[in-house]
Amino acid sequence: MDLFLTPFTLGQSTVITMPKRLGINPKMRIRAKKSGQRVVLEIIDRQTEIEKSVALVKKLAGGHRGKFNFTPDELNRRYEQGTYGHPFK
Amino acid sequence: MATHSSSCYLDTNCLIYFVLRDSPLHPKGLSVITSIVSSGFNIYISPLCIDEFLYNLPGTLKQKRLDLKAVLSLPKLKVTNPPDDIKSQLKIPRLMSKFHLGPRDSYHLLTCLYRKIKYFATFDHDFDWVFSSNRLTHF
Repeated sequence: MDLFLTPFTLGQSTVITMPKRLGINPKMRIRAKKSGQRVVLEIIDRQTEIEKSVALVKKLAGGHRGKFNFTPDELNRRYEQGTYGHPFK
Repeated sequence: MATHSSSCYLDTNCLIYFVLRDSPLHPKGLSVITSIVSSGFNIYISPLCIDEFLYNLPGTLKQKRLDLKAVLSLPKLKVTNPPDDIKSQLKIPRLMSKFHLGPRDSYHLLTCLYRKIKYFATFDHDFDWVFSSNRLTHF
């Protein structure tokens, strides 16, 4: 899609208004890459990054099978017994 | 030093329940870590956590290595350390007394305070005094 845009100055920034049909919404993260006379805008979809991370977390979870019924407090006592020879408290 | 207000330190029990599929607390462990990642937070652990993790996990060393590899592959996870200067070490007995903590837990707390990590995820009640004093926020 070719568009002809006219920038204007606002304070220390240069503002370019773009038509809505480009799908650029407020708060979106956009990477601007300048190469010579070309400026390429790339939308970075933050939500997708988080979704990918959550999928990775689910993939990494539960890799260890086997019975293990210790409660968090029992885990602490077990560790202290093994390292100090007695529970700390 | 950078401020990590959107960072969460993971206690060892979260890591253990995260990897142990058959533990009754596995869904809770997975849910906490998923929530942290969904919030876009950085995850911090320290070698103290890794020590406790490897000590408490059942199974062979080969299995433990695989479990550790899974934990270290978590997105935005960083391994950090407590401060190493003399003055900071002298804070440990004070933290133990003030928050009713053991020495190791005091080192976890000192690491969070020193690294400016605001959130702490745990399933035990050892840090209740810390949370009630608002020094850390329970994730």
